[in-house]
Amino acid sequence: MTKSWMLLAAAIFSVLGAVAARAQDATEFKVGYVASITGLIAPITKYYMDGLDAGIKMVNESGGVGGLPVSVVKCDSQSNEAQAVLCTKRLIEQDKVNMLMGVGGTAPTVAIEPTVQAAGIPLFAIAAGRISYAPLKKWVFKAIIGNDDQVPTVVKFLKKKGCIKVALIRDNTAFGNDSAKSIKEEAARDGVEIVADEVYTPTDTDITAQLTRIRGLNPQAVINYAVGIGVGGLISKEMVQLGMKQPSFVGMNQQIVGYAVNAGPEGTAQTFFVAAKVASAADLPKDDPLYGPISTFTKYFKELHPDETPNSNSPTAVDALLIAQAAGKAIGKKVLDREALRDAIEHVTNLAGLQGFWTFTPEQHWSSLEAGAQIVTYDGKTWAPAN
Amino acid sequence: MLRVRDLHVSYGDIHALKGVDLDVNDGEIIAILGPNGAGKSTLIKAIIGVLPKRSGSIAFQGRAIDATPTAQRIRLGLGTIPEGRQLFPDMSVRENLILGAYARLGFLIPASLDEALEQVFGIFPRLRERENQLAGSLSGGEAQMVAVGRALMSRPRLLLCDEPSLGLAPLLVREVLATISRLLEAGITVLLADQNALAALRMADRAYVLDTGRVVASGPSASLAKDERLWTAYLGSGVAARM
Amino acid sequence: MNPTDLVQTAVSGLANGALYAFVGLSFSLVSRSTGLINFAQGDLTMLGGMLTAVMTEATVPLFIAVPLAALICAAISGGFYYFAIRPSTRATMSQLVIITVGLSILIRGAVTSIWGTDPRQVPPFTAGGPIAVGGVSILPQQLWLIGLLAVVAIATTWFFRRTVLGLALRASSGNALGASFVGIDNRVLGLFAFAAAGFLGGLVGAVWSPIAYAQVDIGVGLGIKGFTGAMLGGLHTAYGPLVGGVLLGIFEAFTAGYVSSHYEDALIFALLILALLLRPQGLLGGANSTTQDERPEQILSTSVRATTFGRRDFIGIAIGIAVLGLIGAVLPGVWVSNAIFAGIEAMAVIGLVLLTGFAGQLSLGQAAFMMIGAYASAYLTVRSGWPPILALMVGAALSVVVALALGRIIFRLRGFYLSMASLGLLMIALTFAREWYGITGGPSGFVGIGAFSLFGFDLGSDTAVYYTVATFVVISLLFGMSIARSRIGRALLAIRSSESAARACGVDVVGLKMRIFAFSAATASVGGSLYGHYLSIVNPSPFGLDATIQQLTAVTVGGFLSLWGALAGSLLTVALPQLIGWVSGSVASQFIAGIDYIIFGLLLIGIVMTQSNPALHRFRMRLSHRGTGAAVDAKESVRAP
Repeated sequence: MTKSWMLLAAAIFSVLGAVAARAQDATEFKVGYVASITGLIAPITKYYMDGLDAGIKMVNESGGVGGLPVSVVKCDSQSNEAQAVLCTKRLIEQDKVNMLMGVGGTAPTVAIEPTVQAAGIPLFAIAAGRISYAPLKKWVFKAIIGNDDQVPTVVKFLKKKGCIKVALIRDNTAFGNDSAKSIKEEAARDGVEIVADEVYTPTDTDITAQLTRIRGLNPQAVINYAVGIGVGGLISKEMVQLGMKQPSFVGMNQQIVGYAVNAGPEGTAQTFFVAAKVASAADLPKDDPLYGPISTFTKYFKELHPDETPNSNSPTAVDALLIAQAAGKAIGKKVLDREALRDAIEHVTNLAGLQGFWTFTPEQHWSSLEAGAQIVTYDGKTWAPAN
Repeated sequence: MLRVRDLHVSYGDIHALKGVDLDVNDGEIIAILGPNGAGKSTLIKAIIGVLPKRSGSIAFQGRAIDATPTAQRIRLGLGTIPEGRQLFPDMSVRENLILGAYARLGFLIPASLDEALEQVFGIFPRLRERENQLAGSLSGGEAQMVAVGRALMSRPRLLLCDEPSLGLAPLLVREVLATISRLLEAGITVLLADQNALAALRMADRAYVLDTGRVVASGPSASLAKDERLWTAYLGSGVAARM
Repeated sequence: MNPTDLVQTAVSGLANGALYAFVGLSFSLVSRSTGLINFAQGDLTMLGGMLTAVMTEATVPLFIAVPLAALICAAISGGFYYFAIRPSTRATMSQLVIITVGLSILIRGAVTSIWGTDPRQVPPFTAGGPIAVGGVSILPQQLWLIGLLAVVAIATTWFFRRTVLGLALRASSGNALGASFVGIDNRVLGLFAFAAAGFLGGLVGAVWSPIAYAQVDIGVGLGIKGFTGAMLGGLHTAYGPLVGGVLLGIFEAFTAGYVSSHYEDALIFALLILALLLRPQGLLGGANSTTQDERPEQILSTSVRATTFGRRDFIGIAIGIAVLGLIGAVLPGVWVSNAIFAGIEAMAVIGLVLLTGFAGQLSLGQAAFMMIGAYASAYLTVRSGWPPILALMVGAALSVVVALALGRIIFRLRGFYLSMASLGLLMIALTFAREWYGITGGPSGFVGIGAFSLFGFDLGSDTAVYYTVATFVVISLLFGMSIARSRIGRALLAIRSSESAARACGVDVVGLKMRIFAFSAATASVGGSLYGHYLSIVNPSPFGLDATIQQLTAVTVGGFLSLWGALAGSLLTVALPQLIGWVSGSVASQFIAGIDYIIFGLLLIGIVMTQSNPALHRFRMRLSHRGTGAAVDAKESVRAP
């Protein structure tokens, strides 16, 4: 009885496997997106995907990749490493994608890299942690404003404003931990003192105890790095509730309207956000080197999502496509050959993307995007660069 | 008053009662005898409705109660002192008693219930002292008093007693059985199931003997006491023959 | 120690405590009435907040939205009892816990699908900012919450003492049989209790959400804290959940504010475990009140369990090995990967079959042993360069040592209390993994773990890993079968039925529990080691509550008493999300992802129902020809005359 179940299961899987092997489609360029559509990273992934929709249109209406139209196949990795690996293998073997991008979190990205290396397919890493793209890995390329771009922007801004006694509050996930590490290192470099490092669990709903403690230390500013959007805004709201007047600085992933809703108007007024230039697209001067791609992208975004404005998360999944497009300009239809594509990506130089300028070399698969990060504030209507 | 015909009851695959017929008339004390496992408790549970029957009929005061829920049966006048007493250990004596009247009550506990409680305390003065004590901490005899009192709270016309003497010291057994027989004076008919055949027969007018789910003998207690079938049921045919 | 800060911390703690007290009250209501713990209670609270948010966004006025949200939660909770719990007359305690876990997953999936994962704001009852009194501030909504709590507490106390229904609920939980003799219909009471708890849960969600926010994932943690508070105060007492919840809130605030926010959750769970061990009846519970979860589980198995390896077993093993071997050769790559992860999980689930299925001990902490194995392998191979097989064995040995040490302490507990204690230990272990930066690498853990290798042969390809995992699985299976098909197996079943009876028959209850726990720890640890080598990274995130729920699902699907079922169940839980994703194609979105969870939840609920409702038995998935040994209805503890 049991054995027939197991045989049945094995038979089903074999059949599925055979049936699912879709033929190589030589008429489109397939991108596999390993996305954390549910789980811890879910709220941010939603914004990644909204932006991606606009990005696909933008790329397709400007010649696609190597002259081929782009289609994106998504797989939900559930913010879970094992599922990320399974998604990756499925996208490679059954959907036969030509390139991959992913994953929302640093750890799942690192988890899929052995698979990517073994299969020999280019992967654009869109996780904030440096370890996801460095040291050099043959098939992995950075495609996001990472911690090493964001954090110096924040800390240098703090130093410029004379805030040298700063408290840090962040969640106890890998994201929070990596961010804390980067922040402390950068702070040490720039002569800023981190007087507190308080943590909380992302699903906590009250952080006043930690904030009260910080209040007692009387810092000049508070750095608030959260992977969860709800709790990030809540911290701002609670700071107001506790009568804390210090400005707070939040990471790029929090630069969304939802944060302002959670934080309340007073909390938002006290908050400085790290943002990609896309966020203040309306204010972007025409002579800004990134003006071209950003305004084009914003146009497409508004067509698809008329009630929203792009935020810093919107371009995250798009630059990978732009880079692929740039690589395709050099080799045309040969983008369908993974090795050729990889080599071409390695020669992309000074490409104006949405998050900054992309330059890859055979020795370095990442570039500094500090120029693409800025500090903005929100007045309830527009995001404006802070000075 | 109570008419049971061809009653079959099962626990899952176990066929516990195999076609039992029983009559109880107003004002009688009826004894149900039989060894452990004969089906006495099952019979009582089926009559009160705690166990569903497989087939057969049960009628109380001329009215078929086969499909009636327990609460309704209680309102019609059936009351039980369950085997092992089945008190509510974390509730006080008073609360246990109040719950005896559950079937008659609405949403709030009425003040009129105090009168009924007083009557019970009248019969069992010891309980008045223990009114707020948790039932789980009572002695065996006191617990039995609560069980009887609880049954009385529902103003039963027919009281089903399931092994009231179980687990009690002989002195207490006598006390309990004496109390039960006094109920007759209060106009309550009694159906008493007990392993203690002689004591039960002494109290009862008529008796039924159950053995493995069937009635093997019935009749007036005086003659049943000498009936060989009674002893066979308890002791097996070999021993009974020698008696 | 600024006095203002002190008071502020206390005030914040009090407000949170009111929330926990409310949730605890709901747990208590259900537990006092039915003896059950509804794992989804926290999610019902979340739902109340979510529904209120959604309705107010659709411009429904607050004074309609809040009661309506509460009523909807009541309907869901009551409906769940009526359709899923009430008919499951033969469910064991573990199965009932799992069925409520299924409801929790179902609710979260539905919310994700319909409204997504974005947090939402709920308008407060009264407008206005925080009220500041001398440097200490409190929100008006927090005052509402505390006020409402007082009202509800008084109302429930009055209800349990002065109303017939309240007395009946207490009676039913104290002695269900006795209750039926006085005419109480236990099942109507159960329905009422669940509906009332749902109403309370939804109500408090609506009242509290304006303070923070409403978001799909906040329910589970809330439920755990509410339950902890209720346990601390006394789950079955009138004011226990109230006192316990408030104390917990204050304790939590002071720990985060004055001890360390890094170890806050570990300390809370340590408190829970201490309470369960030292004073399970809670602060306010009486000494002789029914404390331990003593649901007598009588297994009336209609089939005799074998006590030796029979010929059928050998044939089964041979076929099983052949099938496993075939799978490795025939399946395309990604499904082999699924099978690998399934096999790794199966290692933990095999142990669970024996521990939970046979011995009836629902441990929610098995993921901790996987974690020990994973970290041991990671540390020893990466930092010390040990050969993987040695590291794996050290990990297993370490897990066994930990199991024996801790087991002696927590296995004094039974039923749901044991489950919560084991969950608490897992959470504490996770905290240490997260914080012991030097040893474990913190939340990011280890990267770059090499592939598993044996005597120099690198077993890195998927196929090689598959066969390695399959070998270990078969070995564990053989060990497991030799235990199950022996006197020990019968002894374990006896322990599950009634520990005191087993002890009276000469079964070394404590010793056996320890040995089985150690065995399950060892197999889980090996699974964890293999996981680390396959994934090449090890960090705490795969070993949390989600992993536990996945293992529980696997055990349930597999049929509790079937070792082969452990394999099938593991495969299902690993592959199902992939299957659904593949079927829905590239339409991946939050809507589809929510459907995934909905299916999972329905599966859990449905399978437990088929196993525990005699009317549905013909739909049962019989994964063992020995049957699942259904339990007789424990609540009515009907005894043969």
